[in-house]
Amino acid sequence: MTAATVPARSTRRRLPDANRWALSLAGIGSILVLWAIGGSATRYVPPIGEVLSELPGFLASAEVWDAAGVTTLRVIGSLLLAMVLGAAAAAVMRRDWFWGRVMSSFVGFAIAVPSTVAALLALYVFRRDPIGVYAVVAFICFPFVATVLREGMRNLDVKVGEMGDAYRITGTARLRHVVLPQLAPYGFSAVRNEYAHAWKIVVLAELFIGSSGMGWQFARAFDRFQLTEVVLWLLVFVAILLLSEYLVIRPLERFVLKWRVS
Amino acid sequence: MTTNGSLLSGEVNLMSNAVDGVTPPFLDLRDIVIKHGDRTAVDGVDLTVAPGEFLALLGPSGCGKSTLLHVLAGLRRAHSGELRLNGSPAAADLSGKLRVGYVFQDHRLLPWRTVAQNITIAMKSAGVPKDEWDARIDRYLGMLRVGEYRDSWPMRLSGGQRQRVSIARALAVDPDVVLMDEPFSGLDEVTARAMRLELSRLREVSSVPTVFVTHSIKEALFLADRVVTLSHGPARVLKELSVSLPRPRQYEDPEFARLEASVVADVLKEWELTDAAPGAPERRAS
Amino acid sequence: MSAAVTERPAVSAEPVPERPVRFRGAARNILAGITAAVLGAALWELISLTSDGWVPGVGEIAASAVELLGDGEFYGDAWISLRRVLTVLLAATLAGLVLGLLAGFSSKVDSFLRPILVTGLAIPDPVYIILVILILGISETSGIVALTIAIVPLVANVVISSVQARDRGLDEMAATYRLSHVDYLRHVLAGQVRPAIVAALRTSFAFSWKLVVLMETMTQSDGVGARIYESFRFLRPADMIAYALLFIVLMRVLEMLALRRLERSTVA
Repeated sequence: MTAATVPARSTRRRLPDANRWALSLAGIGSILVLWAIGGSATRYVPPIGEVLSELPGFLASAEVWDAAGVTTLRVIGSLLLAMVLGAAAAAVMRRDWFWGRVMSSFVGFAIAVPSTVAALLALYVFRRDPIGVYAVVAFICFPFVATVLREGMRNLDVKVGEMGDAYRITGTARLRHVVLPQLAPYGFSAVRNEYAHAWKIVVLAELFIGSSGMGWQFARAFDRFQLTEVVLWLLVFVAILLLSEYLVIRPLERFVLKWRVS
Repeated sequence: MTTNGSLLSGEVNLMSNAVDGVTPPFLDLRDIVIKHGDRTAVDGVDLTVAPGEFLALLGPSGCGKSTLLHVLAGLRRAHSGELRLNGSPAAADLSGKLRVGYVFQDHRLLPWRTVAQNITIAMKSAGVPKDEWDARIDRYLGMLRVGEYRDSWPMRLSGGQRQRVSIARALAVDPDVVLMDEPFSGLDEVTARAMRLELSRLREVSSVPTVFVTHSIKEALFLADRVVTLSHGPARVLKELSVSLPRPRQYEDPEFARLEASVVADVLKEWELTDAAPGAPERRAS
Repeated sequence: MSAAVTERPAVSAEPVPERPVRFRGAARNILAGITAAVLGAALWELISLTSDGWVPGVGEIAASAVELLGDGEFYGDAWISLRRVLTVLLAATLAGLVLGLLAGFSSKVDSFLRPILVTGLAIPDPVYIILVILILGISETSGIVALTIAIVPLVANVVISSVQARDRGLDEMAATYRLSHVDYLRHVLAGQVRPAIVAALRTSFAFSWKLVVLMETMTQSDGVGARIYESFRFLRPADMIAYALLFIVLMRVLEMLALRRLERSTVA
């Protein structure tokens, strides 16, 4: 997540699709095998069968969806906040030498603050108010956003800018047609990385701060030693993360960046 | 080339506009000096562009001819010298006074906007009325034979097609002047030839004054009404040549070949001599 | 935001400003650093004032930090945490490097590992810690195993993209000239993979010490993370922040000394 690069378009020779799928399935299978072994080797890891049999009932309860909804909302809200803060920080770093140095010391420091510390501090500042969750997630994510976006602003194409000058494309038209499209790949890179990051931080923050949400449910299930429930929550968590990545973010990215001809 | 009399703008203005009754040149540059920091890129160039004229600026790579175009496009200011537009002085800065269509060496289309959107964005910024947009897009894309790519992404087009779109964009903004900066030097020879033919054909239907920068003698003679030869950088005017060959021109025409040989002879010693001179390292100006 | 994201002037129209004389640049750097510190402290005071005394002021934190450094309490825990960080760093870098290189060079391994890595990335860090403790019990080793598992996917991902971005033209050259495997590894690959190694080290360092703090908070009775949580529970916020700050500074210094030097020597 620290790497501030936009993934280059892969130019590799591809395996036939069928083989790739088979190997990927084998990969998923190996996770299940590991789980099965873990389940039978120790008393604590609940076996697959038990978890699966409880899954329908678990998914049917309204409490589960409430918690998932609350946490999703927090992730999206704090990610938006982090994007705005990160963009502002990147713009400052790009525009002004002196304040840029000041800002990059802040960003460098913020990147180094462990999320645990941020969560505990938020408890002092906001008590158990859920605003603390937003603050922690946004604070942890924004320096990464800033780093990626600064890279994007640094790489703005001078030649395209010159064209814009020659045709006097200015103001909002300049922003819409010349600048933002160049930043879009970096923006997506930031969103994709930080969305996953935010989910992980939000669980941690709720674990310390919360009185609601999935992280808090995790912690509660663990405290009561209901390990099947812990694993069920984990499954829901992973499912939400992967589904939103593959069904929302990636298609959206493909749509916005469809002009890139492979 | 400097005209007679005082350079005081008012006086000359009076002379050229009212008294003589002669149409003043569309663009008139006098003793233009352009600097990159401390380095002089253009050193006292006089240049006129008549209304409707196709002018070629011929110079070796890096002599500062692109820089001169930047001044005409209002992208940078001249360090000193005088600029007149239709006879009236325009200080050292043309930005905002001229509507230019600019064709760069590379296409410089926005790859994230379709061909039609690219042209629309330029027309909108140039203030072309909205109800003309559609017709203009069709007209100029058709004129450059890329009408079928109206809704394509630029990156799906070939290099030659992109350059055609780029020329269509330059014409569609209803420009006062079209500036072309070695537009065909990035294309392969066959495509470049086809494009030159296309451009000289276009001259028959539109007569926007055009300044065409090139380092190819053939290209300059094939296209231009007048060829201004520049020295190795810092650029000075070496020679001016009116090309009165009939159009469409042929590279194989003996007259064309004779003219080319004479320009080559002129230019060879100049460009080569300065090239070899110590303290004049080759630098790309743009 | 709209005003903020504008380009710098596209054409270098005006003369390029003279590069500032070296010592003046350094002075401006220091000035910027001081400004950042002062601004940060002021901001902190503001938060402290608005929190009804829950958040300690800058003075209290400084006093607490001096005390921790003065009576030597900090060093023992810092050393314990540092040892854990280095262990995790080493383990995660090695494992991530091996997996990343394998997947980077073989699309078969890549296809196999991809879903495992994606799932691995999607599991929150506390869950790793909880699960490994359940299986191995609370011990020094289980914490380190948990963190290594948590960090490996991150490292492997960075290495994979670095290897896949290598110059294929050079591979073709090596094949054309029939370079032996050893020569290929030594002359063609090593130079290209070195940035991947540095990237792997940077990534795992950045995450390992932050996660060590989390792990110590959750499971250990010694180390900086444990002290941070202890101070938190006993309502000594100044101590908590002082511990965190000192450790952050220590880690930043280490990063600058070790990693930056490493990077410079491989780039040059």
